[in-house]
Amino acid sequence: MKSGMAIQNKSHWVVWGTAVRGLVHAQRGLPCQDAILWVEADGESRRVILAIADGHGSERSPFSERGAQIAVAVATRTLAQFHREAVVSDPRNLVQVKRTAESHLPAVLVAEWRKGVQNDFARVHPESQLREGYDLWRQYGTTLLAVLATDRFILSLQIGDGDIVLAAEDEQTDRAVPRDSRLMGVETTSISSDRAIADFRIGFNVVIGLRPVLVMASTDGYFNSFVEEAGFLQAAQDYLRRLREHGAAYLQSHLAVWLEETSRRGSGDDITVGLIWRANTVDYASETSETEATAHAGTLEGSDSPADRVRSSTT
Amino acid sequence: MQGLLKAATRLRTEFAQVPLEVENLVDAGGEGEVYRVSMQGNQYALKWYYPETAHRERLSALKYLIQRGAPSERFVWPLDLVVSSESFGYVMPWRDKRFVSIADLLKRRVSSSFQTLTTAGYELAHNFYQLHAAGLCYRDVSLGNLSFDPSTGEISISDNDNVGVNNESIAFVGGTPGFMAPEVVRGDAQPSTDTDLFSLAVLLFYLLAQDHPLNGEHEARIHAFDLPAMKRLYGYEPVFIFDPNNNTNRPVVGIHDNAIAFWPVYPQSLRDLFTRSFTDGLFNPRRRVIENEWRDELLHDRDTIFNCPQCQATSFYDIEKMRTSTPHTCWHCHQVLGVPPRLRVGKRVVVLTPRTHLYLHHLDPSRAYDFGRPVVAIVQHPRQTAVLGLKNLSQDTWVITKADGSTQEVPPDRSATITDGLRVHFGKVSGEIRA
Repeated sequence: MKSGMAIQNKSHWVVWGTAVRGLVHAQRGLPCQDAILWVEADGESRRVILAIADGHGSERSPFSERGAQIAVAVATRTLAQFHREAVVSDPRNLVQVKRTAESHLPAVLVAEWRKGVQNDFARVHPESQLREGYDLWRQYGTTLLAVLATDRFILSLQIGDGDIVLAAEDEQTDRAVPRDSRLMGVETTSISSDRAIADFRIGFNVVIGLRPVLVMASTDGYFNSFVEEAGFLQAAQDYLRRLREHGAAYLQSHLAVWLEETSRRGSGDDITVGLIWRANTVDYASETSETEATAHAGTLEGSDSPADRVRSSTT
Repeated sequence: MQGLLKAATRLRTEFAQVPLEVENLVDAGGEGEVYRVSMQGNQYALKWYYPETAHRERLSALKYLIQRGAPSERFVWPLDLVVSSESFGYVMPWRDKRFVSIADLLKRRVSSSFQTLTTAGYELAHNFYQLHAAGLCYRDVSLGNLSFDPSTGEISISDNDNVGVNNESIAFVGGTPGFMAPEVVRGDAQPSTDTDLFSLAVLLFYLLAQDHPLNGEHEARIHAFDLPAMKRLYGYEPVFIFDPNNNTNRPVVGIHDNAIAFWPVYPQSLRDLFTRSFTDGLFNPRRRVIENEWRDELLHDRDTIFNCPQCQATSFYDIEKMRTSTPHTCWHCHQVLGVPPRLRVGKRVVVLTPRTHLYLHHLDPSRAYDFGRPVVAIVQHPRQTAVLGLKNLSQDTWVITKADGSTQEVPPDRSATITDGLRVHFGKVSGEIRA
């Protein structure tokens, strides 16, 4: 199990998530090749950032676990820079914010990820002549989903499979990033491909009233555990309901167990779910403690305990 | 997810007082949301502004645009206002599904022929001409605002609510990074027809080369999200990736592969226009390529497309190669290409292939840009398919003069065999064939 500590963003967004190793991975002795990282508000800013990634895990991508970790680190750092430079200076000009994101962020994310991969490979394999290019990058192949949530908007970026879902106060759910019709088979687009910049999909949703109140980002192991799309989308509403009924601490303490059970009964794949929710719509404050940490990465702990009762209502 | 307006909400337009019903939310952006609505049994789109962007100046600008009307049918233009106590919006035509954004082309979700791409490029320049001739400027060029039919090249221009009177009305947007003219990026100028010309050149480059004209080594060196570096790239120190006098910003293999692949495929005359746009035109708006130049060049390019006999890939006949005795080679299979027969009419050259059609645009100086109905088709001899003929689809009788000086009439629906040196008097103009 990979998990982190909840971060309470004083007035608006709270972020939490976890990554669990899938049953198939456990049986094969493979590590969890997903990664998750989030960043809280930095002082006066009230934005939160969440990134998850799903390393391809194929023979062609032997270092995809590291590729996923590099991807979430790059994404959180880049979105923090983007927020600082492109949003804070003119937060009301949402048109410009959206267009700057669309124009620049995919190229920056791809370039930074490649740089991270090159550094990692050179460190681990100093003897290798391989220094850059697709032969190197595909060995670290991964998907990436990243969310920047501010008072005014939710910016979502995605390459490869996985899902980012928005849930509104009135229990409606929708995808923040439309599905890519090319991802219906086994193959996925990848940050390691030569078309990565063009393959990024971007969603921009303005926050209006109580819409949305929760954002759920998940790797494809989660979606693939559901029989129907409707059931998957309902999961976001189920999380919202649990937050209201039982509080954040309950969700935080149970999420990993629910996901392990979902993987066991469903896809057997690694599953990562990251959640961002509005603090002022969910009564959780008494159950979560504030933290001074600014960023949390998951650490491998390992757990196999099921949670039968919960899974039936999240799937 | 539900937007600001609930499904089945009933509203009424301001000017025509026509009732409409909201069906569903289809898109949301930085200014507002777009809904599909039904009005008198037909589908339309309704853009509905977020309350904070629904200000009086915007309302006034919309009223002007609605009363003024669209410069051409290619603009998805505001048709009528819709106002409620919380906000307002405007009704516009519902865009046909056959249109895709240029972003889809770059993502290779759709593919298009050179015929289609040059047609779309011509249409862009032609319709920007219509807009600018009306004293208006677009101010908001981006990949998402321009769509085209990938099978025909017909274009559709959306997001027209930022159109304004050149050098007069308030600009609600500064533009999209990468499409803004350098002087706008630097904050030295407001968007105008001059800056539209720069944006148009960028858009055409994207359409044809499928990369950005300023994104080369300089861009590749910017790694972190660095706005000052991006301002240098597009505003203070822009360098064209194919600048003949400055090789510091060449496209990078692995990042800008499209530009590297496409650039040499196009005729020198087209590359010259891009070079002027992104060298002299970067800092001197008066040196920017105007719509007429793009129109003529892109129509010329479309008229000179021919197929490789070996792999069927399409290439452009390049008169500069003829001048310098450089052979045409297929970009795909690299075979040296023989050049098909050409018809020269005035300054125009048209390559004659079985798919070629000529229009009044080619044969009547008073009907420039009239592509309504073909007046010449190329036909193959029924038994000797290598023998081509010009078929007269017009109402006029042509007179041909053969290389030996003999003349012959070609009445409507008859054909003349294409031979080297054949002269054809079409009625208002004459042409000569080189084969």
